[in-house]
Amino acid sequence: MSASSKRVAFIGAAVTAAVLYPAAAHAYVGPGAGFAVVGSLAVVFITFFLALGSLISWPFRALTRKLRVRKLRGPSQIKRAIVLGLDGLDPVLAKRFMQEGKLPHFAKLAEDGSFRMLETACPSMSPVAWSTFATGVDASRHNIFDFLGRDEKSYLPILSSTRITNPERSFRLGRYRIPIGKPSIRLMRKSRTFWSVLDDCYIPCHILRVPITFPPEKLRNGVVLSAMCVPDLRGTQGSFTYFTTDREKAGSYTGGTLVFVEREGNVVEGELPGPPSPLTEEHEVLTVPFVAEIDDFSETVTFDFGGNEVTLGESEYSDWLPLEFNAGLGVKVKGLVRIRVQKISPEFELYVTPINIDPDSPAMPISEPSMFSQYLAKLQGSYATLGLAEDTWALNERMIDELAFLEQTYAIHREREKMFMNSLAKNRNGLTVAVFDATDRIQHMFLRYLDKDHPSNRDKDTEIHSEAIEDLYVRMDVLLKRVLEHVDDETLLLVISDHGFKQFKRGVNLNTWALENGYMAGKTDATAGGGGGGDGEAAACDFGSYCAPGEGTSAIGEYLSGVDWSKTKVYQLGLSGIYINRKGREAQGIVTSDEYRAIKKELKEKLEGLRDPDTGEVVITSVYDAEEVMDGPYAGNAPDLIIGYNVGYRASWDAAVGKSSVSVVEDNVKSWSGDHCIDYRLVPGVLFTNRKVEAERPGLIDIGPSILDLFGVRVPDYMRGRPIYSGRESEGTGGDE
Amino acid sequence: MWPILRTITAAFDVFFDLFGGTHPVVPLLVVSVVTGVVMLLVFGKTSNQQRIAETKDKLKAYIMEMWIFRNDTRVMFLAIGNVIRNNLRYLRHSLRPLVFILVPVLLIMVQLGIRYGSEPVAPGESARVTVTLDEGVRATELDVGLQAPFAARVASAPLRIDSSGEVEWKVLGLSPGTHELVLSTPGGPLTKTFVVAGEPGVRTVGAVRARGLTWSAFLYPSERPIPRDSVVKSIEVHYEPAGLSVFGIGLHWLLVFFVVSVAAGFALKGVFGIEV
Repeated sequence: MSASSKRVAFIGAAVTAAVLYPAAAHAYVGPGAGFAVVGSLAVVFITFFLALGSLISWPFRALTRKLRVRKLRGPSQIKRAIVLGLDGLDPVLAKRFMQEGKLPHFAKLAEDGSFRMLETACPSMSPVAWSTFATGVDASRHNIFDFLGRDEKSYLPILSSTRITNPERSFRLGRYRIPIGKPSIRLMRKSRTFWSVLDDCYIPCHILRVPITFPPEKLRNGVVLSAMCVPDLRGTQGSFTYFTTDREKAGSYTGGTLVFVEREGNVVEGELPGPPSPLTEEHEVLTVPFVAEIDDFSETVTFDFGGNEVTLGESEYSDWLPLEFNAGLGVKVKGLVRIRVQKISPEFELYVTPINIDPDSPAMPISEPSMFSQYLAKLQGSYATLGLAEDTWALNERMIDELAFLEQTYAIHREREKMFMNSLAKNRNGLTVAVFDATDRIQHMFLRYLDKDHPSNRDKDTEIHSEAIEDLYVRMDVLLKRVLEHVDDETLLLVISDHGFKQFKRGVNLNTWALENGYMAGKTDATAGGGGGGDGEAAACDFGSYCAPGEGTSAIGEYLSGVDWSKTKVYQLGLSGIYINRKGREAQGIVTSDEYRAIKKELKEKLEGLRDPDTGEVVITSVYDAEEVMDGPYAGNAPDLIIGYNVGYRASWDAAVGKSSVSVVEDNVKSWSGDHCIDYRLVPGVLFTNRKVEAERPGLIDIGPSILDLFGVRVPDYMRGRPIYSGRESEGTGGDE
Repeated sequence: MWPILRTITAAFDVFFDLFGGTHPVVPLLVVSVVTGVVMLLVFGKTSNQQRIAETKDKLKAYIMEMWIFRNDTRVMFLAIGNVIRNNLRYLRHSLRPLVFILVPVLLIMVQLGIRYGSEPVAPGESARVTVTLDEGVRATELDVGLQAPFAARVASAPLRIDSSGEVEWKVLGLSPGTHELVLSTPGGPLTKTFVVAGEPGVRTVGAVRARGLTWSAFLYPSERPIPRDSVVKSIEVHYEPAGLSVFGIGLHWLLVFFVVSVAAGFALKGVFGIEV
């Protein structure tokens, strides 16, 4: 018996003797013992009644299931399906690393089963592709065409996947305005997910972190944890905060806020800006204070950060720190951050991650059932809930370095892995899907290391993390190994990615091209005019670091400010395509229905084969007319022309936010050096599976129908994908291995 | 030991005097709340708060798991197993603070016990008084007698039982107050308080006077222990158990103390940031 066991045994015996032996004290279980006993008994009672209720109702539930499922389900070829989604895993790199013997488990899976390129969606972006995976239909049927859409009235960008609207009614109470009801959160993705079809047949589904699942859908026999497009507590898609005493860092930063603080002696105090108050008319920003005491001798900083005490050294992350933003009237909004001391002296610099919704007390619905996020938090500890949790902006703006980014990304990856393994252990007779984002984020930020001539390499490290991509793939191989431990003959395993990856070396600005070619016009005084809707609200330079180049009257500012809509026929916003300023659709549209097709044809002819003036390379390989390639009910919401960029190119940073720049094609010098928002035919994803695939060109669109088919569930007619294991091939254009 | 117990008893006497004229439940509630809070703080200081928090989180997680995966019998039974396992772990983490809490709480309980545990003899009613002798001493041969003061009367001849080494009398209460019975023994006289009910309020009623450092002496600290060299082990007055009336409902004082002290602890744990 160990010393600690002996000690425990002794204490146990002493307490037992003291409580049980004396005649008059035997009844006592007061505070102390009482706390434990009451809590413990409560647990026993709850457990007992839950178990009893479940057992009593089980026959009825089983019978109901059987009766319902009888009509919906035929014989099943599998007992369980596991989909391991590795966002952005590239088939070319995977093949290369397999050939080099670095991915033994992928290689074995490919040998025993199948390895194919997997056709992605058009356009080849994660929200579009994962929606296609989820629904088995194309973008014109699920209505997700990009991260961003545009408001046809104001020309301002809107999040394509979710609409959040506050309650219309409220009442005043002193300085407070109390909303009546909850905000409405609507998922804009249409169609049905294939797991909801499985759920109809009572097949348990665990859907973990699949993009575009916010708000989560209700399943009668499954769980959903939302992912991409879950906002942070500020309502953005992820805004870091950077505190510094260094005034030379002054400027604006995309994706975050810079806050200056003063060091007084060894103390730095500050306030973390949080969400806007939901209870006041002014919606003033709620804050959480922090105090940092610097110990120069030990080179550590001790924080009281919103009530959390933590001591960190330089370049060290904290664990998740729970924060409470007090909105008044007893309302508290709860979030989580991790902090990292970037520098201690001579300047003090502190990086704070975006404020994630606390899964243990979520301010918005991030899981279904709602207690599922709490369950995971209690089981495995706090975890990132933000849709785009890995802070690519902070690295892109060079607020953190590559190492800090990798540490953060892999910490999040480990959280997901725990969730996934827990689901695999629980769900032995159904579908488990988990999507991991580290593959996407790391390739976005580190792909430049694979190309010595990449413009992004300028003034940056090209050696220290040169193995980051290979290491990433090896880590995924280790993850696969763990997953394979759960796979038996009755299990279908699919390892898929939504797209591949290519270098993003040059940005293309089609607003600039449109200006140069007379399809777009700026107001004579862009800085005075502007405003997305042309109503003069925002000046071109109001939005941050990507200020207008300032080259005269035709410069277009962020979010299309400064556009003269009366002379503009076409505009670019987002990453996927361009829009025609169509009369009757856009608020200030000028292109009539008669001209519409002609101008599209004209643009297609001019843009296809557009060449890079500096290198002579083809910039755009294909321009897809949405009317021609999409026939679903939501095709009208697509960009009029979807631009298929060549390898090495993508919409430029300015173009993505509706801005013009100096040149049509310019170097991409950001850390974000890899991308996939190009011609979808050039970036297929991967498909590894433990069964032989008969389809020659499988696509993401086929995965859902294939799983339904193997479970013996009829593939709904609305789905456009086809089972890949039965020889019925989809009409995709995905490449061969 | 006795001086400590005497000091504590005196302190409690002073405390209870403050509540003279109030309903007996009032000082009990005050003691219970203060005990709950103090023990909460002791619990917080002497327990592994992090482990308790982790274990409680796991417990909650597995209870949620039972609900979330209620359609999967295998998972549900596994969750039940995990609930039981973590429940035991939770109890184990509570053992250490229990050791620190037990002694002070027992001392408080003893004080409450001698005030709320026994009902004084009503005037005109009688109670048995039992003297327990050392093993080997024959009750029928020992020269012992019991004298009562004015306010009480020894109402029976001594009943001597050799097999149990006991001598027993019946004593009648005549007028209210705390009186002293005198037991004559070969080693000298011994006294024992005899309480006859009078004015309402909380009154110290020590049922037993015991010898030396025994558990009984610890439980009834209102009277000095019987000298160690005496042949008498204890003198006990068999009072009726007392009842506590709260809003017309009869409750045992222990129940009130338990519920209120635990409730106070649970209610204030958030304020003090203590996991229990």
